[in-house]
Amino acid sequence: MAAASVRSRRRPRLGDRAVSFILSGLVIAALAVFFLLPVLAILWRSFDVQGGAGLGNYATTLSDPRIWELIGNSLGMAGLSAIGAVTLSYFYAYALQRTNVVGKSILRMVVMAPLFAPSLIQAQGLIFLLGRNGIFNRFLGFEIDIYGFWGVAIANTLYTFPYAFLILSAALAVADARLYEGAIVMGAKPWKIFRTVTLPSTRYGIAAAIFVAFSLSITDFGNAIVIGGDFSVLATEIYNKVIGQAQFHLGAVIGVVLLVPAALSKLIVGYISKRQHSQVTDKSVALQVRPNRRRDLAYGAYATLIAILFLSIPLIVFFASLVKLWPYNMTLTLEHYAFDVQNGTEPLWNSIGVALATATLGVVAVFIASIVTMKFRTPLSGPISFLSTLPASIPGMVLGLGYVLAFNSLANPLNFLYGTFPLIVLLYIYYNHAQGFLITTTSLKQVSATFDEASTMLGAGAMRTLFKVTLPLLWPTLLGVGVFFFMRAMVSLSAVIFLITPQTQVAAVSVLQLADRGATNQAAAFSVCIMAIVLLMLLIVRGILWLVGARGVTLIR
Amino acid sequence: MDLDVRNITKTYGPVTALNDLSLTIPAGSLTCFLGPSGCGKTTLLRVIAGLETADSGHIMLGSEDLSDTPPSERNFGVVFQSYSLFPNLTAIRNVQYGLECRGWSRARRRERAREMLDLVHLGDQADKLPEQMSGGQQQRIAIARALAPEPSLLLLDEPLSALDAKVRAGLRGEIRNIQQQFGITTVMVTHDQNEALEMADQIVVLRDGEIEQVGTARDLYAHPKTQFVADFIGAINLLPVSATPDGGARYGEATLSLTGALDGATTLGLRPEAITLGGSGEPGENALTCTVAGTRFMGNLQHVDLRPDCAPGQSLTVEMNGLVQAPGAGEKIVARFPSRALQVLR
Repeated sequence: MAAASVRSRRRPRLGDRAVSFILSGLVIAALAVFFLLPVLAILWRSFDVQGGAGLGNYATTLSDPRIWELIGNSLGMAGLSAIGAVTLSYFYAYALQRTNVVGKSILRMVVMAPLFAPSLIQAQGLIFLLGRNGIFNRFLGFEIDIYGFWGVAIANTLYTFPYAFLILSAALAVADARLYEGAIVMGAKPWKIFRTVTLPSTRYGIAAAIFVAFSLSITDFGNAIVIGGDFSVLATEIYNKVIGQAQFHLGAVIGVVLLVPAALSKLIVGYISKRQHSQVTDKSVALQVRPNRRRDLAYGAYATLIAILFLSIPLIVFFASLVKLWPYNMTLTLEHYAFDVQNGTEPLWNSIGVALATATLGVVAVFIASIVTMKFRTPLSGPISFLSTLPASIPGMVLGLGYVLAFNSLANPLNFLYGTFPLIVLLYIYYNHAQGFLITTTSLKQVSATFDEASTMLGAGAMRTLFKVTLPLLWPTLLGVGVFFFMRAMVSLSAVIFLITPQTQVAAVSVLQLADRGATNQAAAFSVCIMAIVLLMLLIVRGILWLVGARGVTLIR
Repeated sequence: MDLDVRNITKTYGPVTALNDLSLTIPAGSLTCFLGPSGCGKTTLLRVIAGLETADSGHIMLGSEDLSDTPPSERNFGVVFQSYSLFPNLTAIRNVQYGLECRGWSRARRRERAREMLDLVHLGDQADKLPEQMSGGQQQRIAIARALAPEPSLLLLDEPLSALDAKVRAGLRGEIRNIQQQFGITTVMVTHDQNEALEMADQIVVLRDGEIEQVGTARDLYAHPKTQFVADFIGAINLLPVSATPDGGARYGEATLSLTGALDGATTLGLRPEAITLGGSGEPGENALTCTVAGTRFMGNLQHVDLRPDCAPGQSLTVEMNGLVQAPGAGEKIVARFPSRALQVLR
C-alpha cells in the first residue's frame, strides 16, 4: 500500500501536541515570572505592614494631605495635556486625512519626532526655548515662567501628541462617503457637516485618544522632574519615596494608585475599540477629498505651525548640544559630544546593546506568544492571550518598581539577575509585550488559515509549517515589531529608572542625570545621540524592507 | 479502495452541520458533494480531510479507520477554493513541498515536480511565484501540488468557483482527465449543478446536513426522488396533485395518468423539455388545454409560459429547442406529456 509505505518512511518527530504544550508552558511561565510576579510584588508590598498585612500603608499615605495635592496636580496636569494633545492632533490629523494640504508625508513624519527621543526631551527643549535662560526670556525680552504646572502640561501635550495623532488619524482615515454626500445634497454647510457627520463618526477615536494621552501623561516621569520645579506629581513622588527615601512600601502604594487611572483608561479603550469596528461596513464608500483652496490654505497654515513647533524642540536641543555654554557662550563646538562627563559614551553603547537584545528577544517572545494563542491552540491559549495584552495597562514606572521588589528579594531564585542588563532587557520586553503581541497577532490573522491547512494536508507538521510558511510570510511584520522594541528600549525612561545601577547605566537615564546636575549641553548632546541612533535604525530597516519589496509595514507606532 | 463515511455527526454549538451521515465513495470514482451553501458539503469534506473533527462516526479507507489519524498523516491531497499556493514559494517549490515533508531525495523531488508541472501543462512556469500567475494557472499548480505525493484520495473544495466562466469550463475537462488518468478516488465539493452533472460519476446531494439523494448525474436528473433534488438539478415544473381512487393524480380538475404510484406524495415533477405543444398526440398521453401567458426567447431555447385551464392559478413552463415559431400570448394550445415524464416527488 502506497500510503503506508510513505508514512513509514517519514522520520519520527515530536508530536505537534507536545510542541504546543511545551511552547505554551514556556510562554506562560515567562509571563508569570517577568510580568505577573512584579505586579503582585507591588500589590503585596503595598499591603505589607509591620507584623502582617493590612491597609496601614494606604492609611499613612492617604491621610497625608500632600498625597491629595499630588493627586490633584496629576489629574489636572494629565487632563489638560490630554485635552490639549487631542484637540491639536485632531485638526492636524484632519488636515492630513481630509484636506489636500501639501507635503503630507513630511508633516506626518515631523510630529512623530517625540517617539524617537526620551520623553524628557520635550522638557529639555521647552527650557531652552521658554526657560529662565531660554531664547524667549533671555534674548527676546519676554518674562515667562515655564517651570511648574504649565511646563509639565505643555511638555506632556507635545509628548502625547503623536500617540493621539495615530489614533485619530486612523479614525479619520475611515469614512463613509455616502454620509457626506447625503449631507451635501441636503444643503448642509461645512461646519454643520463637521458637527453632524465628522465629529460623531470619530467620537470613539477621540475618546480613545483622550484616555491614551491621559494615562501616558499621568504616568510620565521625565518631563515632570525636569521642568516641574516645585510642582510635584504622583510619578515624581514615587521616585522621591523610593530613590530618595528608600520607602518602598509607600512607593508601592502610590504605584497602586497610579495603576487605577491607567487600568481604567485601558479598559475603556478596549471597550471603545470593540465598538469602533462596526462603524464602517463593507458597503461603505471611501471618501474622496474634494478640492477646496481656502480650506487647504487654512489647514496648511495650521499644520505648518504645528510642524514648526514639533521641529523646534529637537532642533533647539540639537543647537544647544552644539554651543559651548548655553546661554552665556554661544560659540559653536563639538566638545559636548566628547562625553567626558559621567561614564562617557558607555551608557549609549549599553543602550544600543540593550535595545538590540530587547528587539531580538522581544520579537521571539511575542512571536511565540502569538503562535501559541493563534496557531498551536491549547487550553493555555486563553490565559496567555489575556496575560499578553495586560502589560499595556501597567505604567512603566510601576512595572519597574515591581521588578525591584520582586528580583531584589533574596527569596527569588532569579535574584542573580538583579542589577544586570538581562533584567533590564526583560523589563523592556514585558513592558512593551502587549503592543508587540497585538501587532503580531493582527498580522498573523491576515495570513490566511488556508496556507496552514494546505501545508498540513501536504503532510507537514506544525513546526515545518511555522518555519516554511508562516515565518517567511510574517518576517517583515516581525522586523517592524523589532524596530518598535528597539525604539522603546532606547527612549524609555520611567520603566528603567529604578533598575539602573552604576554598572548598568542606560542612555535615557544619563540624559536625566546630566540635566539634573545642570550639564544641560551634554544632556542635549546625549538626547541628540539617542534620536540619531533611533532614526538610523529606522532608515536601515526601511532600506531592508524596500530592498526586499515588502510594502505596507508600519514601523512607527 | 473505497472511502466509507460512517454515521458522521458534526455540530457547531446548537447548529447541526452533519447529521448521522453515511455514504460510500467508490474507489477510482469522482464523487461530487452538491448542495446550496450551508448544506454541510464543505464540512463533510473537511471532516474527511481531518481538518475538522467529527463529534461521532468514522472515516474508513478500505479497512483502515482514519478517524484518529491527524490530517498531516492521512496522505490525502486537497485543492482549496481560494488560491492556497504558498506565496513565498515558486510553482515548482510549491509542488515539491509535500515531497519534502515525506523525505524524498532532492533529485526525485525535482523529477516528480517536473512531471506534475508537465501534466498540468505548466512546465514553463516552474520558477514563477504564485502572484505572477493567473488564477487558472494557480489552481492547476495547486492540483499538481496535491497529486505530487501520490495521495490515496484527492479532495477538491470548490476548486473552480473563484475562476471566471471560460477558465472554469476548460479546467473542468482537465480535472476530469487527470482524475481518470490517475484513477484516483476524488471528492469534489460544488454548488454548481452543471459542474457536478458534467464531471461526476456519483453525485451526493446534501441538504441541511443530511443526504437528500445519491446517484449518477443521469439518475438524479431523470429520477429525482424529492422536490429539492428535482429543483436543484435542472429546472422543473412542480404540480400539486392529490390521489384519485383509480391510481391517477388529480391536477385541478384534470386527472393525470402516472406510470408509478403516488403513494401519498402530493407533488409531481415535469421537466420543461418533456412537454410538447399542439399536435394530435399519442394514446395514453396526458393532454391539457392551456392559455399561453408569454414566451421568452433565449437563443437556442425558448420558454413558453402556460396557464392550464384545468388548474387556475397554476402555471407550466415548456422548453422548446431551436428557432421554431412559438405560440403567441393569449392563444389556446394543448400541452402534451407522456405519463412516464411525471416524477413522483417527496
